[in-house]
Amino acid sequence: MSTNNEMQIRRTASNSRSTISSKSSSSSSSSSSLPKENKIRNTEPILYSEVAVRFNENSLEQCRTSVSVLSGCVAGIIGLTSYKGFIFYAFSMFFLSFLIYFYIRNEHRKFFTSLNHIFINGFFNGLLTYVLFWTFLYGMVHVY
Amino acid sequence: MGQKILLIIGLFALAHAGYSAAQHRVYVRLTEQQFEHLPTDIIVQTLIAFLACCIGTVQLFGKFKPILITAEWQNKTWDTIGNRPSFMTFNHRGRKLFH
Repeated sequence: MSTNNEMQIRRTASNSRSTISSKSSSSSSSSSSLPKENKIRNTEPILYSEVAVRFNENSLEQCRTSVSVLSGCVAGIIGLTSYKGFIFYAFSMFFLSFLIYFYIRNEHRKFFTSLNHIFINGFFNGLLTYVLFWTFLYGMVHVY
Repeated sequence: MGQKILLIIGLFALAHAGYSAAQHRVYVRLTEQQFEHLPTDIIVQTLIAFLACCIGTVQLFGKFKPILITAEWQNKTWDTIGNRPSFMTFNHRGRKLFH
């Protein structure tokens, strides 16, 4: 029972990345050898709790914002200039993504509909915050 | 609690590294040397503080909820889930009986 549910989740999660609360998995692949009960179960809708999805995205956004503030501070203190600062921003965002993935790596399908939510979505959301703190700390430490 | 301690330590280390960097900049300016780059220990301290802050942040904010609705409904009774407030009626005989 539990393994079947796991299969269902995987199939829907890889098919779609939207966060609609209810959806139906429309695939019926490689089911010639499966019993009839399994076929019926594969067409059941997968219900996502919309509140929990939104809560997870909010938590992810909070993580991204605070890490962009921190990395802006670090870039300002070290004294990065021009393109190096933007490379550092990309590095820190990927570092955050890998850190989150490391923490929930076995059960990321339990928390997110797809891995894009962790790695790609909202990648540039913290860029302006980063630039603000970068210039501020650079001015405080190195200029004045 | 542990993640908060880690975050606070990281923030303090970051602030200290920034102050050290500013001090070094002033020292270089006063002794009229040419500024090349920061000392290695300040850079290392900054990066370690950043690492600690990142881990603390992820542990503090990264408390996710399971998104499957079955997981949410597992701890609830049918009386909670099947509650339909629209079908409640108060205009019945109880008003006469118990009032």
